[in-house]
Amino acid sequence: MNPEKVKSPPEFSSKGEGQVVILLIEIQPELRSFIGHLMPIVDARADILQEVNLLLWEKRATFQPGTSFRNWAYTFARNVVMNHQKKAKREKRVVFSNEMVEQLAADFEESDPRLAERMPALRRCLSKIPKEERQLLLARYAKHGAIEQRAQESGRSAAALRGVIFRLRTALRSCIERELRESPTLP
Amino acid sequence: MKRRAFEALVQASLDGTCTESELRSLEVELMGSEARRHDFREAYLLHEMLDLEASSDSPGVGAAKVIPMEAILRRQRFREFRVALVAAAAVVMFAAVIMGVIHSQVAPAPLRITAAPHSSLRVTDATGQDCSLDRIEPGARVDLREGTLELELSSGVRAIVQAPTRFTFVTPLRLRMDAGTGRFRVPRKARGFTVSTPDVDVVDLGTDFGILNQTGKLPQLHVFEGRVRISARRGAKESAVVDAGNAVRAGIAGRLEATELKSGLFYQELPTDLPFVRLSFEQDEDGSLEVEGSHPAVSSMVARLSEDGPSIVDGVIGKAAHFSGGPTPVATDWEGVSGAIPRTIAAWIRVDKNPTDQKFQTIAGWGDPTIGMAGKCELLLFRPNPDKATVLRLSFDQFIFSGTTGLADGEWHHVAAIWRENPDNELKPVVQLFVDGRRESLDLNHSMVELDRIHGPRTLTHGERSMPFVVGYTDRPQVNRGFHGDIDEVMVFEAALDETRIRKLAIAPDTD
Repeated sequence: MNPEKVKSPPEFSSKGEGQVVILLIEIQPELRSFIGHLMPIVDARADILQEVNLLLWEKRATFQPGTSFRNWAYTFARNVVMNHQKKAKREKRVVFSNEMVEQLAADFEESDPRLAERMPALRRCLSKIPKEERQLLLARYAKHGAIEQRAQESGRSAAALRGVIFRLRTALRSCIERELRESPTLP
Repeated sequence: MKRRAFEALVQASLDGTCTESELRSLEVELMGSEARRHDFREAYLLHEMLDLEASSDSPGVGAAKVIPMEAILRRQRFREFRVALVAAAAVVMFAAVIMGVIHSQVAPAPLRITAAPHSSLRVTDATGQDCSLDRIEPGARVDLREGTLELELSSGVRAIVQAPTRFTFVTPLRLRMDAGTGRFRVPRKARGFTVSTPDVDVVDLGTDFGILNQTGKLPQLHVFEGRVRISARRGAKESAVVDAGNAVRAGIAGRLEATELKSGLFYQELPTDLPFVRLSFEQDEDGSLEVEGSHPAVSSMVARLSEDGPSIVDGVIGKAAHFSGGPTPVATDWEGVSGAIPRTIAAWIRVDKNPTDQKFQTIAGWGDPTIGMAGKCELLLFRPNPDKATVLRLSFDQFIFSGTTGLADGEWHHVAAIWRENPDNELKPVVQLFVDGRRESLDLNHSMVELDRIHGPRTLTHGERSMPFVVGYTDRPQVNRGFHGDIDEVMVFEAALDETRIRKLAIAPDTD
């Protein structure tokens, strides 16, 4: 263990560290989305997120209060993803081109999505879905292998259930966009 | 490309099932259209929101409930207060940073440890100072020498680790385990939790898994739920995602190979005692022998009588096994205590009064008894020649320790032996023999207590020639080692008991 990793940089006050902590908490869901859409390798995403978090914490002294924390964090995340791209290419794994990653990252930063503000819209849209389909969709996210399990229980094929999920995701996206247009503020 | 075809590529990307040609098609679409990139981004944002929603504990959808993101927003209203609070413990709060959830305004301890009774451990902080078990900060070192611990990490990870285990608490999402055995339950919010050992990195993908990383054994990963990725750190550096119901081990060349899944290697709950196995020779209704104890192996362990014996007779407590010197052991499928793990072997014995010329009588043992391999661990009786008394002996690795009290008197005696490593001198382990609760003097003429260790682990429990735990007879390293008399209340602890506990066992065998 390198104790330096858990010590505060001398030039950074404890109050400043507290602010970084809060900002890091807030940005976690967006960071996961950011990394996810840049990196097609599902198994690598958790590692990249952890690496980004550790890096942000180690570099917290370089964040200047008053500037955009999100842009600061996305910049580090983009660099970490690019490093993983190199490694993945060496391992002959399928990844986006560097140009694609740069473009997607730039778009994401510019759109600056706030998931917390969208969650109520998601809830409203989920409430409009038949209960059985809603449970199927959430089960897919709650437990690995849930689709196969549901298929066995219901007698339907896993492919058919994946088709339902495909349709629900598409419908939910449209619904959320509509909800955000009509009720853009938090409840 | 039509919208549905594009949507199919997007969702394949979400699920990680894109082929190379599909990904290239998707890339072409994305590069050529800002609208497509918008849809692609939105698909991932929805993916994340559904993940958040599904990981919420509330059973209903659409019902009024508190979810992490809303909690975060509400906390913003108390920003000033929280800043002061968090700033006072910024490092502690880093646990919550990574897991993304804070459920209360009191910062949780990054790591809290609960020790099972009689456990022996040392916890030092990053500067080497001893620290409390209630609040352990990143950088701390934990050295569990005996017993079992429950770990509660602020990331939500819970683990049960058993001795001997040594690890560094790096962050609430990472442990560096130099050696040890542990079972980890990782909630969805702590996905990515990593255990690093000298040979492998194990990264959780939302699951329940066990790691066995003991001296002399290839590191093993057993996955009981979900998925885990294991990556060898040496040689070929193979990597694999292991699904529930499977186990792998990493060879010395860095290659991964399947192995048998064994839940009996790991605790699921903190035990109330040191790990032990007890054979009391009470029989179930179907005639099989009861196996008791706090060791995780007990749940699946089987003990059986040989076809020709031994017979079951009255013992010190309840029933005992009577052996007539023949090749009739009580056999089990437990591999025994391996490597250099501390141990205690204890039993009640009543040796026939008419002495036999037999040199060795096995009480209990396991491991590889092949001469030259020195990989066994055996408590036995030893009679150097017909003119000498029959005494207690502990034999393992290249070490032999012989006692001095004559035991072939037709009376019940409690015998025990403990062994643990000597941290100051590997070649002089701590060994004590006990008869009727009293320390035995060693007969140095018939002991070998200082040898250069030229072999690997001290007890080989996983080799082709290794035998599982047996009582009353072994046929190696030579025949004619059968016990003559009665054996009762055989207990094997994965710990070196202190004299007080040994004395208590010698009065009335129990586990208190």
